[in-house]
Amino acid sequence: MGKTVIHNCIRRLRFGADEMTQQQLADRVGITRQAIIAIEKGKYFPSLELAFRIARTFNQPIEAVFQFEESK
Amino acid sequence: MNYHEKSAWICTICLLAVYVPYFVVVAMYPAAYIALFVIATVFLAVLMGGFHAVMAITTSKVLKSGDTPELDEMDRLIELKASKYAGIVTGVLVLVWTLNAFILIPANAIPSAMVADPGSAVASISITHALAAVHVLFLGFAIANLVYYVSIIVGYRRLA
Repeated sequence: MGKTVIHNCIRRLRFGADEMTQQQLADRVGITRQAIIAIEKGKYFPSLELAFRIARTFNQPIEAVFQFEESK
Repeated sequence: MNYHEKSAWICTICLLAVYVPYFVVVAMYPAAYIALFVIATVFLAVLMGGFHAVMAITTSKVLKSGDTPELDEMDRLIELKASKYAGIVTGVLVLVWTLNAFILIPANAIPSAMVADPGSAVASISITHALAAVHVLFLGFAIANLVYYVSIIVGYRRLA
């Protein structure tokens, strides 16, 4: 099994949502701003529940926010 | 910097500030531990309490909500990993201590006691040897505590 990478476009979606700040998103999904920063940078992969909450905040399906990629 | 990371920094600095001098003095005067232990414990509590109070006062979020921020899933993951590392260190150090207390200290203390008092060798093991075992055990717990907080800091720094 290859190394798995989960990309996300949270940053782009935030700017599309009235330039929502990281703090605003963090408050809406119930985590810290540091966690949002880590998720955006791809250093921390959120739980499924948190991923759904983030996607729901932007009214998007989860696969529109997070893309799973498995390298060989 | 996250509130919990700041807290870990405070705990690390306080532990180092209190326990490094404590163990240096105890290594020189093993029998003087009771007064030192009380002083170190009180000083540690005052330092940690004081710094956390200052941090809470200067953090606007804490002032607004009146409570410290809750741990989110990333904070919990970092804490869990830190607990795992601290647990491993505790286990290894307790094993080392057991070896030290049950084999090495008697092996060194009994022959010297037998020379001094051949009739009651085991009963006359010096108090210094016995106290050394206690101090080594306490040092192990202090190191494990330090590993816990340092692991939390490293966890946050890696994700920053």
